[in-house]
Amino acid sequence: MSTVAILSKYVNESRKIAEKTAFKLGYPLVTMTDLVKAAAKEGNVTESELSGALTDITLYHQLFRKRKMKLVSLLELALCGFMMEKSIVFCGYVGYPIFQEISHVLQVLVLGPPEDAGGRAGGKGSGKDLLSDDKILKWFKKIYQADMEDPNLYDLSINMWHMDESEAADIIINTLKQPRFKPMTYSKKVMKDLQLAFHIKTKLIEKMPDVAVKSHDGTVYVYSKAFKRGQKKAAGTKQSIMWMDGVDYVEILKDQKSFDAV
Amino acid sequence: MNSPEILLIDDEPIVGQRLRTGLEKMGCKVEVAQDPKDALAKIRGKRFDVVITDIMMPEINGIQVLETVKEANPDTQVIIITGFATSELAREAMEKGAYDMIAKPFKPADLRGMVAKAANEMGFTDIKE
Amino acid sequence: MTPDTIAAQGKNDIAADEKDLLERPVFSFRFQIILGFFTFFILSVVVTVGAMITINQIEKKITTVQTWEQFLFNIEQARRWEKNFFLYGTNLEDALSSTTEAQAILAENLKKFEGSSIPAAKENIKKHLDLYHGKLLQLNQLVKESPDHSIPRADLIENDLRRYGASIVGDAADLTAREHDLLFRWLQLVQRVPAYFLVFLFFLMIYMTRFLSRRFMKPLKYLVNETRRIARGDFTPVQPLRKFRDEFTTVEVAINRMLRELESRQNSLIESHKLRAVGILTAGVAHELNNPINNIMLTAHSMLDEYDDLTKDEQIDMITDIIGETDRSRGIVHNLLDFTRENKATYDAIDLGSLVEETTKLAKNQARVRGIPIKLDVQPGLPPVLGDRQKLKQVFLNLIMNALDAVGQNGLIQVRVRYHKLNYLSVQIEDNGAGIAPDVLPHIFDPFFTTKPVGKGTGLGLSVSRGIINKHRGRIEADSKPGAYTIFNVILPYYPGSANE
Repeated sequence: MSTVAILSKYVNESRKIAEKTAFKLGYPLVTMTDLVKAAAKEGNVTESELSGALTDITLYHQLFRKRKMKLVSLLELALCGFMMEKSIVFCGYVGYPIFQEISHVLQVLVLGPPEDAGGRAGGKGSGKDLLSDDKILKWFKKIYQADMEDPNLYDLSINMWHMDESEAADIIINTLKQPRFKPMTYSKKVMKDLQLAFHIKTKLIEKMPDVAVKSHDGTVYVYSKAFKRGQKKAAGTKQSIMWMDGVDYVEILKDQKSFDAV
Repeated sequence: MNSPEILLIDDEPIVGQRLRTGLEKMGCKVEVAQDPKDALAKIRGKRFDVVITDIMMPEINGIQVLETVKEANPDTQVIIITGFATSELAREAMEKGAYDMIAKPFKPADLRGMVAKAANEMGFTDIKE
Repeated sequence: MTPDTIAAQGKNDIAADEKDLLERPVFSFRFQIILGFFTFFILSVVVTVGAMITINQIEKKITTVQTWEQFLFNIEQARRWEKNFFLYGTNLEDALSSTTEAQAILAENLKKFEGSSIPAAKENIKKHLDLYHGKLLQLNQLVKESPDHSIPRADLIENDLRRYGASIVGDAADLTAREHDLLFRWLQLVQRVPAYFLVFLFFLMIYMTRFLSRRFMKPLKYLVNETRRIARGDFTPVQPLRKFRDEFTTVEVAINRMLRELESRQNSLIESHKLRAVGILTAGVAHELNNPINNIMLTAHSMLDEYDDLTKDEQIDMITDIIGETDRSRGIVHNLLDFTRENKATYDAIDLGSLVEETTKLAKNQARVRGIPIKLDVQPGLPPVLGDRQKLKQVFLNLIMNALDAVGQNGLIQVRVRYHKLNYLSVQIEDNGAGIAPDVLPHIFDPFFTTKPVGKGTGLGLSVSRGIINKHRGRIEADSKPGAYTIFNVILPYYPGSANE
């Protein structure tokens, strides 16, 4: 159940590194396209709508934010599914909140030349993995409010300017050999909790775009500003998720601080 | 029949009391320590196959126990049980050679499964959960 | 009580307070100054009008005196002619005309003199003048009847004339002299009054200046002292200095409003710091709860798995364990809830030792995560202190958390509760951390002082802590040796009357 997550704005280059890594490790490679396919099946939405949520960063984002949040959440849920199922190499730009929580995810950032020399990096219009170049950074910032190229968020940063994809893959594989990235009972449990949380989040997010969900062993904590306004909303939410698989108990939280604390 | 030697360290006495019976039923020899200082002395004096330790204990914490175990006998497997589980702690424990980690609260069967798995890997094939 | 009603009540308090200040009778400085100047004006008017009247009187008096002099002149003339008549038998006609003239003057002015002259024998003069005139007429008749100029009983008439004439002249001269005298006195008065007035005015001005400036300076000094008190963190409202309302009342009302604002801000600051502390603590407590929950879970599962193999005693043991661990969980949560609870700002008699112990427990999780022992030493049998449980807890928690942040490896925090001098107890929080540099030490209680990076400060500032302790009539002191130790000493008065118990 190990996971290597490779994030980069250089779509083609990072893709090559991911392919090489997956091949050397013998893990399947999961790309954004795979996520879109899985999410479409799981959430009963069209692939083109999902792709739209992943590409448009302007008008669509402003007008259909709730819908877009749902779609992103669906994609993340699909990613959880892949991660739960087996060891994978993931290459793309969603899933940041998942990676931060799980100790057995090796997070890799692939960087390009310092002042984007253009010609070499980021083949524009490659089309294969949806967004390209700086649009990815903007998308990432809008969705996760974080700088995708902040090295502090990663376990490993690779500057592909200095090496080919095979060397990069070796570095990644060597790093993955460190015991700290080994899955264990605890991190698997966290992963399972996260999957349930994303499952519930996907269900609720269209009604409450600010909804946050945590899960501990079947106890689910849900927070949204909307709960402050009325008991009805809280009760309705509780009803709607109480009977889901894996949910034992639902706790509705009305303030952020209590949510952060659980 | 060869049975694995297990040391269970937790400053909460109930943990030792409740887990001991189950582990013994599996066919393990179990020693329980509430004081981590005693535990360190035992580890230095005798070879255990599996050490189960809490993290948050007065004066000595589980990471120190883990380090001592790996120093005394690198083959001993260490299972961490903690109420203060975080991703950072998980990585630190694994990096220092822990076999597995589980967050409190857990079910006795969960821990028995982990011990059985470790014992099997060490060659105690007749240990079953 | 809901926050709404508290807020409403607060508003009522404010309204009542301000009403009390604003409903006092108005006696503003503006009015006082206007009153002062008006007094000056009235005085000036009185003096000026007085002078005008006096001068008018003098003018009249001068006319009177002149008239009397003319009268006297006529009479004296008449008497001269009369004398000539008796000596030479001439001028009787002249005497008569002079007398008639004098009579005319007297008749014309007698009324006027009544108003402007001193009361005197004016009637006498008139009577004697009439008699005098009568005698002269009689004499004239006699002269006409006797062409030989021999007048019978002439000496008798002469005697009468002399007597009447002398009387008139004497009286009139006397009167004139007195009028003169009076005129002179009035003139003197008119000369002196402005001088007196100036002197009076001078002293009045000095008095007014001193009076007004004292009226200004006293409240100013008072307010300066009050601001010093406020700067020390005492937010009780400013008491009005006077019974009536003036411009300083407006200032006092404004200061009181500011105080309430400050207090409510400080309270919300304390509240927000508390929430932040609660966030940190809750994380610790959530983890801390995992231990009893784990014990319950293990015990319950053991019972489930081995129920039939267990003896009755073992079953009872296990159930007792579960109950015990449930109580333990409740205790952990209760301690945190007690700290989180909405602040009602009630003052109760508090056992300082157990309060500090509870606070230490709250911080213990943090301390254990960091592997830092906290040693608590409470002197037994201490009297209670009067205070706000939560606020005091917050102060101690803040000091302990600061100490936790200050120590590194091999850190040790010692908390001591004991008698201080006289009627005071002290809570000492000592750490063996980096210490505070001597040049920084005097400033640690300043507002906004921090040594922690932005956003990293966990507790409420020491200035707020000091404010809370000041409100409890206590004080907070710091002592430190860089590289060795830091001691915070909170000194609180204990509940009076409980010392001998």
